[in-house]
Amino acid sequence: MGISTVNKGSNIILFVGGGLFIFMLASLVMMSQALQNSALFDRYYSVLLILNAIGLISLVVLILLNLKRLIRQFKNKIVGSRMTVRMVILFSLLSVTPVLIVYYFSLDFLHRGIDSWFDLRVEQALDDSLELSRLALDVRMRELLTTTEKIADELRGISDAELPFDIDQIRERVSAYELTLLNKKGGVIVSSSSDTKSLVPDTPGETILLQLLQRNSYIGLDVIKNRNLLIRVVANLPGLNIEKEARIVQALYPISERMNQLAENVQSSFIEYKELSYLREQLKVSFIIILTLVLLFSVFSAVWAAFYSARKLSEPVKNLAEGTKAIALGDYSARLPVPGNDELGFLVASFNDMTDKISKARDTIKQSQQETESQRNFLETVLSRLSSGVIVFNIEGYLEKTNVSAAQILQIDIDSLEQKNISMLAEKFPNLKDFFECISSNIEEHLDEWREQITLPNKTGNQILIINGAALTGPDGQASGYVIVFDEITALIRGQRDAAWSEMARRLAHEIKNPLTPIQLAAERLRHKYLSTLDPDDADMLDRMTNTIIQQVDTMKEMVNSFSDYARSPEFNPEDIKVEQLIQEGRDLFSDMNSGNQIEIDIEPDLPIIFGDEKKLRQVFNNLITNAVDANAMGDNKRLLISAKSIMIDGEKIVEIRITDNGTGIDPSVINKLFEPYITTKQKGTGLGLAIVKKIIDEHSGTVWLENNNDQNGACAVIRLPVIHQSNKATKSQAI
Amino acid sequence: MVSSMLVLKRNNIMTALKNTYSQTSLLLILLCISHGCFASTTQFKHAHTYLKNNTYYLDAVYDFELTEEAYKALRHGISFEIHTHFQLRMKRKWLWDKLITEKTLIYKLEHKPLTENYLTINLTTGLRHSYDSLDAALSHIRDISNMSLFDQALLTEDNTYVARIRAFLDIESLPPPMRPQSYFSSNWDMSSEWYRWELVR
Repeated sequence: MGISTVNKGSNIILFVGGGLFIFMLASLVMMSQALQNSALFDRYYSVLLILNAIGLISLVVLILLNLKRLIRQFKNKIVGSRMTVRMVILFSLLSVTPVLIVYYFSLDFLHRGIDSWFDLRVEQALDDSLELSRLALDVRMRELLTTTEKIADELRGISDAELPFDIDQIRERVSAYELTLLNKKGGVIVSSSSDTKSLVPDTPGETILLQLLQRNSYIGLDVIKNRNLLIRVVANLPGLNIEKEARIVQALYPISERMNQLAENVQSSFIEYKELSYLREQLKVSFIIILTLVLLFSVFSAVWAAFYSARKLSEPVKNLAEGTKAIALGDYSARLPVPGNDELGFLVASFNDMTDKISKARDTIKQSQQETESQRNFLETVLSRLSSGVIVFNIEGYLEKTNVSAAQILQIDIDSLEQKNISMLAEKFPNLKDFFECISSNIEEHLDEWREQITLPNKTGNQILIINGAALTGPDGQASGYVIVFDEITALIRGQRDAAWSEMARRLAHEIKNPLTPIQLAAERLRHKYLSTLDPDDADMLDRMTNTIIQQVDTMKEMVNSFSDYARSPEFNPEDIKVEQLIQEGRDLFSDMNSGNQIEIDIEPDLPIIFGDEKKLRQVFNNLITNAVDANAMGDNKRLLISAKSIMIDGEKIVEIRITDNGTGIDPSVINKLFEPYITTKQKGTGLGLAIVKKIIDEHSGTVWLENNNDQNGACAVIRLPVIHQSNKATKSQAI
Repeated sequence: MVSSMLVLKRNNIMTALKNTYSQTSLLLILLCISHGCFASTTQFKHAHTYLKNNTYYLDAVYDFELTEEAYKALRHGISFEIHTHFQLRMKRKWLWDKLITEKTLIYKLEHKPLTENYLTINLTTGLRHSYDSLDAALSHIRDISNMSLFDQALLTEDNTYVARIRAFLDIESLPPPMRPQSYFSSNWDMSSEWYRWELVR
């Protein structure tokens, strides 16, 4: 649309400019013709002059408008304006310079040419020829004067009645064109003419009549009634009574055709020369005006044409520049108008082809990017929803991608993994050193696929991970990176272990506990039946042995019951529990037992109420306090601290209970294994106390771990229980 | 500049022009261009119409003298056309006068060097008259008598009419090289003002 409008405007300008050019050219031709006495254009000289001036002003206005537009474009740094300026200056110089040179020499030739028309000798010759003509006629005129004066004498003797008849004869005799008798005032008395169509005779003028009054005859050349040259002779009629009877006679004599023609030629040449000599300077001015008009017309036309041509030539270049700019800004839709079949047209057509191809390539790239983005989003979604941890390293060992599950499993911030290589990660996270070393060693071996299981030490126990690794293959078939997929199987292992222990407990109950009662009964019967019958030594020995059997069977029964309790999952009855109350009960119980321990309590005021099974949690506290008391048993300073406070972890409110003893501490090699069944550091004990604690805390969605005190002796058992909101209690209850 | 000052005095506009020198000069140049720096001597002495045989005729006499430059040109073979332009207009109350009819009498004046005569040619009728003096030739042109103008039927009794007449040398009849400067030169300004008189049927 824009290009179409521009073309239309350009055509209008061309049409107007062309029209003005033709008009002015025709006008100048007509002016030139008018100066050369052309009858056709003579009357329109002034109009043509004004029209030419208007045409020139129009051209000047056109040029000024073009100039103004060009200056504005140049100031605004419009593309192509510099080129247009250069071309306008070049075209103008090329066209104006020769015209100015021609103008200069034309002016010189004009002055010389017009001056050369006039020569004193020619002028003298013309004067002489005119004088010669007069002299040639003068002889004839004098003869005719004599003849006329004779006619006057003759007419004096003729009566008025005879005059009309005799005057014709006299006229014919002297070969006059017209013979007229008049009174002194010029009134016609009688007249005779050879021209029968002439009804009114020609009369002499007042000057002639005045001359005759002075008794002088008149003779002269004259042109009468559109005829050729005639000789007019006027003479007085001699009379006695001049005042009353004075009359004059006028005779008009024709001159020969040849003489008439020659005289007319001489006169017209004389007039023409005189006219030219008079118009000498005006002619120069007029020719200079026309020449200047032609010059200005040529110059202005050339300058305007320079503007037009420069604009037309720079238009494709300007379009190309704008098209390039549009492409740089990402707009490939513009199609440039092809200016023609020349090289510039070929260039523009090539540009259009290039734009088209770039546009298609861009669309293809955009489509590919969209597909890639779609695949990436799909992958991101899959990765984010994947419970397995995924980490991608590039070929140089730098981490490129990971997912949320990886951070959750490794219990680290996902942002802290960015732009780090494996060794950096191993240094940054010492507790994950084994994990990253495992990956690093497998990568270094350039294995295409590998699988390993590792155990990471953790506050809440060992974390078991199973890691799968695979090399990523690039387009060239070479490894471009490594993808690591890992899962935490701690819960799975623990479940399997719990199931195994449960099965063992069930078998113990079934296979061991059942025979224990008959053994105990049999031992009691043996004692009862034979104790009284045996001698005192034997009886004493029997008594000790049966007692041993009975006690050991009881011990075995207790052990089996403990296993049974561990394996069995009694009904979970959650309710609101005040933790401080449970702690107080525990302290009171152990204070009453006179264990010698000094039990201190540090409970935060307004500790939140937790939601759980009171009996089970009481068992947890009893077990842990028992362990702490046992740990203090060997030491002198039997001090026990039970503290409770609320903390915020990941926006979740947690109640943390710490039971700190003052004993010898825990061997770090077993500190993470103590929650496993049948692992204990005590001489006595089933090894199930902490396992039960772990099981109950897990049931409450809490965490429990053991840690050695850093600044002093002893160890600390830490329990963290979530404060469940009232609205979530039902869900929690159902989940448990 | 002297001529400009004369114009300035004659038109008594000096008091009105208290602006800059350039503005004054520009105005004076414009006045010179539009009216000439000297007024023409051409003017009508009298003119009147009379009715004869249902036709109005004109008798008029005006002063018309050639300037020195014009006389020189005539003697150098330049011919002149002298126009006498008559108009009859009807007066109207609210609008400008309506042109009823007009008539132009054109005389061509030439000098014949061979006979030393001055030739007048009536371009309407083609009649030629030769005179041995310029004054006689001009008298023939200046004195208009019995010039038939228009029919009486053109006039109505209810209206008032204005007849006007003027005479001038037609610059366009001069040779083309002379015309541009003649338009702006007082030497060639030989035109009269309109001479008006009322006509009622």
